Amino acid sequence: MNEFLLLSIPVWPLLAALTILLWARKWSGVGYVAVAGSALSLLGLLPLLGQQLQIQSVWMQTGPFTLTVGLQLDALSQFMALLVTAISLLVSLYAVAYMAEEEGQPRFFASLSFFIASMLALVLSDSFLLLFAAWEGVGLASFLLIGFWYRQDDARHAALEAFLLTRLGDLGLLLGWLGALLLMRTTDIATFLDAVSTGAIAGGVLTILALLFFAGAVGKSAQLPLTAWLPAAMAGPTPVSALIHSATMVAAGVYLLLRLFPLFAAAPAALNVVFWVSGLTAVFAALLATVQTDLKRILAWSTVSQLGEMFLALGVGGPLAAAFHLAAHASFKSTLFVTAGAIDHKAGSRDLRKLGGLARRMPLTALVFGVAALALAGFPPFSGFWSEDAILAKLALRGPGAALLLILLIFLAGIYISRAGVAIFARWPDMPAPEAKDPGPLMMGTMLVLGLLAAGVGWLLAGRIEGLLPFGEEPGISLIWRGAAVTASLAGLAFGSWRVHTRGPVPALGAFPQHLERWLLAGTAAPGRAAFAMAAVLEQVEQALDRLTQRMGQAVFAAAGVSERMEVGLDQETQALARETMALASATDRVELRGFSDIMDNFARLFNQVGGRLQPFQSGKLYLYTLGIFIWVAAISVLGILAWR
Amino acid sequence: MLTIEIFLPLLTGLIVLALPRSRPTAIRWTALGGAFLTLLIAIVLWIGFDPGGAALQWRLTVPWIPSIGASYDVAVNGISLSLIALTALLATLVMVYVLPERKQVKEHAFLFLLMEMGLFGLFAAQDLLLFYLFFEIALVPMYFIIGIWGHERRLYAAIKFFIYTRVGSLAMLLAFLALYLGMAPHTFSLPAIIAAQPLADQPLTAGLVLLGLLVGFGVKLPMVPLHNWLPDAHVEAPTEGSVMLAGVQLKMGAYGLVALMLPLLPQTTRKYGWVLLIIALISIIYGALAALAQGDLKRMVAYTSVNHMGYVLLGVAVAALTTDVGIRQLALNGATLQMISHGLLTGGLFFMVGILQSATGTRQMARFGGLLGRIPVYSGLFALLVFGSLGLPGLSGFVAEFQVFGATLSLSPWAAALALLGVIITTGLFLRVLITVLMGEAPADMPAVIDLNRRQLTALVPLAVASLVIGIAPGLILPVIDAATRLLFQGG
Repeated sequence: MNEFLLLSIPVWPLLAALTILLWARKWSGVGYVAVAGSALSLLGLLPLLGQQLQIQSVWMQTGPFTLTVGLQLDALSQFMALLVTAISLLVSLYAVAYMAEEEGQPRFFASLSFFIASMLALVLSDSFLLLFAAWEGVGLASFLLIGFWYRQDDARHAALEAFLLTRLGDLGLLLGWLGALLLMRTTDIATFLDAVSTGAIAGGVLTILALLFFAGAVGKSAQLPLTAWLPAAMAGPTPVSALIHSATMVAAGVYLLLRLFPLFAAAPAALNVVFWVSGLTAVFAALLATVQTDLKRILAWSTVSQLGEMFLALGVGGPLAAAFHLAAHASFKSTLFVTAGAIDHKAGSRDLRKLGGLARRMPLTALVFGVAALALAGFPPFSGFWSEDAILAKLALRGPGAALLLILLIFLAGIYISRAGVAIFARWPDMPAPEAKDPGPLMMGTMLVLGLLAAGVGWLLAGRIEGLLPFGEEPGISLIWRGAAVTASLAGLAFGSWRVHTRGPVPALGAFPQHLERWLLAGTAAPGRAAFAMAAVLEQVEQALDRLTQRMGQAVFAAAGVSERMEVGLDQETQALARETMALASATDRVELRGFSDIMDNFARLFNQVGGRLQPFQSGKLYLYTLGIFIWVAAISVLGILAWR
Repeated sequence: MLTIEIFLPLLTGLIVLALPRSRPTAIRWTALGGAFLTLLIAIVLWIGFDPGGAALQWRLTVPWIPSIGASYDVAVNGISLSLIALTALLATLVMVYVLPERKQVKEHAFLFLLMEMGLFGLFAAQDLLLFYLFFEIALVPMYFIIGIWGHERRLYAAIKFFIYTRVGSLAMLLAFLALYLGMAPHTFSLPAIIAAQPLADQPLTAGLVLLGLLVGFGVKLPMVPLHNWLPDAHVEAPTEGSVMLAGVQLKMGAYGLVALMLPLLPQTTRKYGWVLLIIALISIIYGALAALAQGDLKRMVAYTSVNHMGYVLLGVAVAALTTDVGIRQLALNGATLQMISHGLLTGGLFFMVGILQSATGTRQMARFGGLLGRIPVYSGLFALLVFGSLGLPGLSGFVAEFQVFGATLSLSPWAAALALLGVIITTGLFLRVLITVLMGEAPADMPAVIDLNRRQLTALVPLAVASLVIGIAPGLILPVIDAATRLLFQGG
C-alpha cells in the first residue's frame, strides 16, 4: 500500500498532463486538472512522511550491466518532495488565476504538470538512470514553458538558450553516472555511495566523477559559466519563473550534490572547485542584480546569487546549511516572483522606471513583497536570516575571508532588493504613478500563503533541521558574526532605499556590472558563433567534395565515350573478321567437297575433348560472368534510363 | 518462414506487374497488402525467436552453386531480426504514405518491393555471395527511384549515388573473394569463415580485406569522407525513397560492419580499431557541423544521419578495441539499437519534411515560422521526433546512445567527450529548427499549410510509438539484440 502511494506521487501530475493533452483540451477549467495533480501528490506524500521506503525494478539488462529504476523515500527525498509539492500546489493555483486570459492553456498546464512529475521523479529517484531521465525531463518542461509565448522572439530564443546551456551541463552528469555504471555495473545510487564510503574507488576517480556531477549542477543551477540562460528565461510566464526558475528546477543542482554528498566529502579537491565557482558566481550575480531595471531580471540574478550561497555551504562541507537555505530560498523567492506577477498584471509593467508609489494602491501585495524581501535580505526573524546564519557558521569555520564573502553577499542582497521594493512601492523623484489594485482573491490568497511561508520557514526549521536530515550537527555561531550579518543586511537595505529615494532606480553601485553582463553574454554566444563559422567552412569542403564527384562522373562518361568508340571499332573489326571467316568457310566448304571430311571429323572430335576438359573450369567462373553482366546491365540500364529521360 | 518473408515481396511485385496499368488503386493496395503481410511474418519470426537459444535461428540451407561452395543459406540472429522487423515496418508505412501517388505506379511499387526483398535477403544471408547478390538487389531499385521519381536534380543525384555505391560494392566483392580464396575448401559460407578465421596469419591480406569491407560498408553507412553522395541522394529522392534510404539502406552498411566485418576479422579490426575510432569521431562532429550549415530541412536531416550513424561506427570501433567482453556487448547493443532508433526517428523526420514539401513546394527553413499555431498535430509529432533525435530520455535515441557513450568512456574519456560535443551541436541545430519552424511569427510569404490527414498519421504514428516504446521499455527489444552480441562476439 505504501509502495503504491510512493509510486503515485510522481504519477499523479503525469496523469494530469496526459489528461489535459488527451481529453481536457476543451475544458475551461483545465488549470484545475494540474492543481488536482499536485494536490494528490501532496496528499499521497503526507501519510508517508517519516518512513523509509524503496521500490525498484530492472529497466534493462545490457551485457553485464544492470540498469535499475526505482523510487526511494528517505529523509532527504521526503524533505525535497514536500517542498516541491507544496510550492507546486500553491503556484499552480496562482497560475489558474494568472493565466485565465491566455490562449494555449492546455499546453501550459500540461507542460507544468509534466514538469512537476519530472521534478518529483528527480528527487525521489534511487537510480542514476531515472534521475538523469527526470533531469532531462525538467529541462524539456522548462524549454516548453519558457517558450510558451512561442511567437515572441525573446521567448523562443530564451527557450533554446536554456535547453542548450543546461544540456551542456547535463552531459557532465551523463558522463558522471556512466562512469559510476562502469565501476559498479549498476545504476543504483546507494550501491555507488556504499562503494565510495568503503574506499573501494580510487581518490582520483572520485574527484573526476564529483567534478562531472558538479558540471551537471552548474548547468541546472545556472552557475558560472553556464549562467546566461536563467535571466533570459524570464521571458516565460511568471508562474513558471516562480516555480521552476527559482524554487525547484534550479535547486536540482543543489539537490544532486546533497544526494551525492558522500562522494563530494570524499573528494576535497572537487569541493574546493565547488567553493570557488559558487563564490565567484554569487558575487558576480549579486552585482548584476544591482543594475537591472526589470524586476524579474533582478530576481533572476538574485536567484543565481542565492544558489551560489547554497553551493558555498556545500563547498565548505555544510550540506545541512545548504538544504536549509534551499528551503528558505524556495519560499521567499517564489513569493517575490508571484508578487512580481501581480504587479505586472495590475500595473501593466515590471520595469522599475515605470512603477512607483504602489504601496497605497496594492497594500497587501506590498506587505507580501516586503516580508519576502526582508527574508531575502537575511533580516531577522524572517527565513533568510536563519538559513544564512547556518551557512555563516560553516563558513566561519573555514576562515574569516569566507565568512566575509557571505557578509558581502548579504549586504548586496539588501541593496538590490530594497532598490526594487522602494522603486515599486514607495515615492521617488519624477516617479510615474500607474493605476493598480491588489489582485483577486485566488491570486492574493496564494500570495499570502506563500508570504507566510517566506516569513516562517526559517524560524520553523531552525534548530529542527538537524533532526530531519541525516547530515550531522550544525556548528554554533559566534554573536560577532551574527551581529555582522544583521548589520550588513540593515546597511544594504538602507543604502538601496536611500539611493532610490534620492536618485530614482538608477544602478545602485554605478554601471560597471553592466560590463560584466556584456562579457558574460558575449562569452556564452562565442562557442555558438564558432560552431556556425566551422559549419560554414565545412560547407565549403562539402562543395569541394561535390565538385570532385562531378569530375569523377565526367571521367566515367569520358571513359564510356572511349569504350563506345572502342566498341564501334571492335564492331568493324568483328565484321571484317566475320567476312574473312565466311570466306574461309566457303573455302573450307570447297575443300570439304573435295573429300577432306575425314580430317574435319577428327578436328571436331579434338574440339569436343578439349571442350569437355574445360567445362568445369568454365562453369566455375560462370557465376562471376553472370554477376559481372548483372552489374553492367544494371549500370547500362541506369544510364540508359537517365539518358532517355 | 524466413524464406517466405524474403520472397513474399518478389511475389507481390510479380502480382503487381500482372495487374492492369489502368487500375492504380488496386496496384497500390496490393503492394500495401504484400508489405503488411511481410510485417506480420516479421512479427511471427520475432515471437518464434528464442533469445536464450542458438545464435542463428530460422535457418534454411539449400545448395545453390555447389561447385564453388556457394549455397542459399539464410538465418537470423538478434541483430538481423530486428533490422528485418524495421524494414518490414518502414516498407509498410511507405506503402501507406504513397497510396495517392500516381506517377508510374506499377514500376514504383515493383521497385520498392524488389528493394524490400533485397533488404530482407541481405540481413538474413549467411553466405557471402548470397549477401552480395541481395546487396545489389537492394541497391539497384534505388537508382531508379531517385532517377525517375526524384526532384529537380535527380539525374545528377542518381549518377552520384551510382558511382559511390558501385565503388563500394566492388571493394566489398573483392574482399569477399579474398576471404573465399583463403578458405580451403573454397566456400562463401559466413559461419564457416568466421569459425575458420582464414586470414588470421596473413596480416597484409587481412588488412586489405578490412579496407575493402570498410570502404564497401563505409560508403553505405556513410562515414566521412565517403558520405558525399548522401545529401544529394536524400534531397533529390522522393520522400518515400528518402525514408527507405535513411531508414534501412544506411543500415546495410551498419549491419555489415557489426555482423560481417567484426566477426570475420576480429584481430585485424582491433589492430586498426583506432582508425575506426578517429573516423567515427570525425563523422560525428563533421555530420553535426555540416547539418548546422544547412538551410534546407531535408539536407539538414540527411547530414544528421552522418552524425547518427557515426555513433554506430563509434560503437563498432569501441567493440573492436576493448578487451572486456561486457564492454563490447554494451557497445554493440548500443550500436544496433542506434540503427533501429535512427530508422524510426530519421525515417519519421523524412516523412515530416516530405509532407511539408509536398504541401508547400519548399523545404527552406527560413520560409516557415509559427507552425505550432497553424498545424498543432504536425508540430507536436515533429517536435517529438526531433527530441528523440537529439537523444532525450524516454525515446529510443537515448537508450542507444548512452550505451555507446558508456562503452566509449571505458576506453577513453576524451573520445567520449568528443562524441558528446557532437550531441551538443545536434541539440543546438535541432532546437534551432524547432524555434524557427514551429515557433516565431510566420513569414509574410509563407505558403499555406494543412495539418496531417489520416493517411499521413497512419504512416507517422507507428514510428513515434515504436520509438517511445523502445525508449520507455527497452526490455522488450533488447534481450533479442543482447543474445546476438553475447553469442557472436564471445572471443577476446
